[in-house]
Amino acid sequence: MTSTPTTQAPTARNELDRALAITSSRTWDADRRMPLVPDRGQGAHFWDSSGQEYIDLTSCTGAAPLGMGHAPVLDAVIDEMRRSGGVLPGVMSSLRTDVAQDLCSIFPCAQRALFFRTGSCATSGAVRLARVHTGRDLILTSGFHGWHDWQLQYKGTPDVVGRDAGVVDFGYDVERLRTLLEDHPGRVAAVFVTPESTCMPLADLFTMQDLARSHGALFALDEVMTGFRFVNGGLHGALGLTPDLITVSKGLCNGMALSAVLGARSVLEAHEKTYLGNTFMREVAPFAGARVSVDIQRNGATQTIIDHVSRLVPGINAVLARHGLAARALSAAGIFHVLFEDDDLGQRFYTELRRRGVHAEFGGAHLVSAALTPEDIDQALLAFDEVAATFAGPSARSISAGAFARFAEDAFRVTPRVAARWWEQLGPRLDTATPDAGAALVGRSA
Amino acid sequence: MNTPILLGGEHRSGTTLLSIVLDSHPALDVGPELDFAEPTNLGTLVIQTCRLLREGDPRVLGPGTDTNDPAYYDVAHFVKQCERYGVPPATLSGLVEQQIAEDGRDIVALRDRCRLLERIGQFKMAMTGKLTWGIKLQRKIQDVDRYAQIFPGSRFIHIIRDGRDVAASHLRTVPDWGYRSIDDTAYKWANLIEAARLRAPAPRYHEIRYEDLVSEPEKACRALCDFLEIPFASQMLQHHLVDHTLHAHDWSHPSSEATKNPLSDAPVGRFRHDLTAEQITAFEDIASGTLRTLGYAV
Repeated sequence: MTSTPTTQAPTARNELDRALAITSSRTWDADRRMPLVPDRGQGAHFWDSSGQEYIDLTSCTGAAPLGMGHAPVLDAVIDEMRRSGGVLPGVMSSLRTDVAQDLCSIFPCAQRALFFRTGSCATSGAVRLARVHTGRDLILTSGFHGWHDWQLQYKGTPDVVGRDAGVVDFGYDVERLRTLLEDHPGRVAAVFVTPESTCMPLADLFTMQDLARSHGALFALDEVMTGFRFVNGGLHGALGLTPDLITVSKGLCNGMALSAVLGARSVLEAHEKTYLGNTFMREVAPFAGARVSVDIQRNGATQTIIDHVSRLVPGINAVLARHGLAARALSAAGIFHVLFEDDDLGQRFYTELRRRGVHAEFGGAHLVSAALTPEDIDQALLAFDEVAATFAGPSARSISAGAFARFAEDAFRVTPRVAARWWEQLGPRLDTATPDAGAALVGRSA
Repeated sequence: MNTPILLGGEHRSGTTLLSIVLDSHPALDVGPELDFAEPTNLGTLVIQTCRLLREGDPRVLGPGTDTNDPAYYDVAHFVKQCERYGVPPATLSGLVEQQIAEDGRDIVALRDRCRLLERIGQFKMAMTGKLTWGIKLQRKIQDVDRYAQIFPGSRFIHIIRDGRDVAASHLRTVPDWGYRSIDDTAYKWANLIEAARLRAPAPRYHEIRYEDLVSEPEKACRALCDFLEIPFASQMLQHHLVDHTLHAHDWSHPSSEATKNPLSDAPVGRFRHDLTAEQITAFEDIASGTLRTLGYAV
């Protein structure tokens, strides 16, 4: 059980100031993430620099779906570092080959695997491969793919020079995608989409896939978030999509940087024509950790995460409804979001949650870990209940189309028209007890 | 709440010109933009900043509405914007104190911020004897549904300009603060228009094209007056001959000087010589659908 913090101790404040003074960004590291400096973690718990304990509902933004310091992964990594020395002169290793085979056995679209360190690197690699394979330059994209320059259509410093002119964001708008494909015959290398499974009509993904193929373009899915949060085979496996390329990262090696581009052999073999190397692919320990991480998730941990979400989301919704808050949690398999009618209230709500020892990020995807215990879930729900009680009032219970649109435009960069369309399908479901887009998917994948 | 006129549009779309044209009408008191959502609060912080401004404290001064101390930028910018609207710091401070005293809380929540706007508008009406107040929401017009709920009965006017001219204006005229890329302008321009159109309460929402305002001003102004249910006033066509508070205290407003001139359609189509062919294509790649919907040739 966590203790209940009241306010951050002076040492924690000092640590935050020290970090901001020399390295951390107030905008991206503190305000958008968490205004405290974590010090250590274990399972689904972490402690800040003043010793204050928190339950983590983010699994470190998805980096540790098995929880922090998960012993089997740690042991595999440490053993491999001792056995092999941790880094080798060449980028090939038996472990890398093993992990590639594991992934190709899990993800239906995968015939070959190429490895990187971060999700951003993988998505950039996928774009390069698509361009080299097709000999075309244009990438039509929707959603978040990371921080690299070609991804700057998404958020932050969009006015810097050096953006990739061959990337056009269609904001999940199928009609805009159709127009772009028709306006640029023979130019589009790939349609590259991050599936936002909690909110989007998933049938749109099939339409996008069909449109891409009918214009000779590849269809690529960014499964960095969804890859290991749907049982065995990512979102595309659950839905039966057949992308030419996917990218995965969160959960590939619990707690360590590793990412991959997976896909059709013919597309991945474009690697022979373009250099995609980096020095630190010579590290072998992440592959040792990946073998264990992937195996544990495949054999029950992903389902455990989905079960946790299935308990948390109805619990949160019950609490929000009981206190008359215009807010709602939405889920798909192992992912959930919480929408608030009033952004200001949402910000304050999450600040209060953190004061009660529960960490999650307002507006972001909640990616819980398998390490949560039933007691952690009870305590998190209790915190939601206490905070909701402090904000209880006469506010309407429903979420408006406008509030959803503002959320979706900020979180996913959908166009306003798409937000309205998504709302038409999602809105009626919000009045049901469990607005879980993933329930049907889980059933389909089973 | 009263029934204010709330104007909006993408930056560099003629929003200031429209506010001046409307302000020329004998029944309307329409000011420039007030960035009321950005400061941490519009209560105690505004009172403090008004005092610092009156004392000439260098922290809240700088070129235009800029401040030497960045921590004061948002709030000092708001206070100076109020002065552009004809509400000097001493008066603003009094209005804020009044609201805090009545409510017993600081002005943080959006509804409370909007109540302060209402108070400011009422003050202006009392001072000028005009019948309706208004301000520019600028890009907040995309949240028209939210403000329609907060200000029941309010009316919204959205001015839309060819996005390629908007891009040219950003890149060529205001490169120090405008959008710096074609892509960014195209995405934001198209999405803002789409959002406002989708969320607007139809009977209370009116669109005007910048090109129509400057090319056929009488027709455009008569349509505005019909929408506002007020008689047309010829002063709207002579806005440069009417006094406006913006020009008295402009704090280097970027469009202040231009709005002292008579209406002219000279800027229409400037993108053809201000943007390269590649830039025009890049804009149209992203926003051709919106351009076509609005009747702009692609």
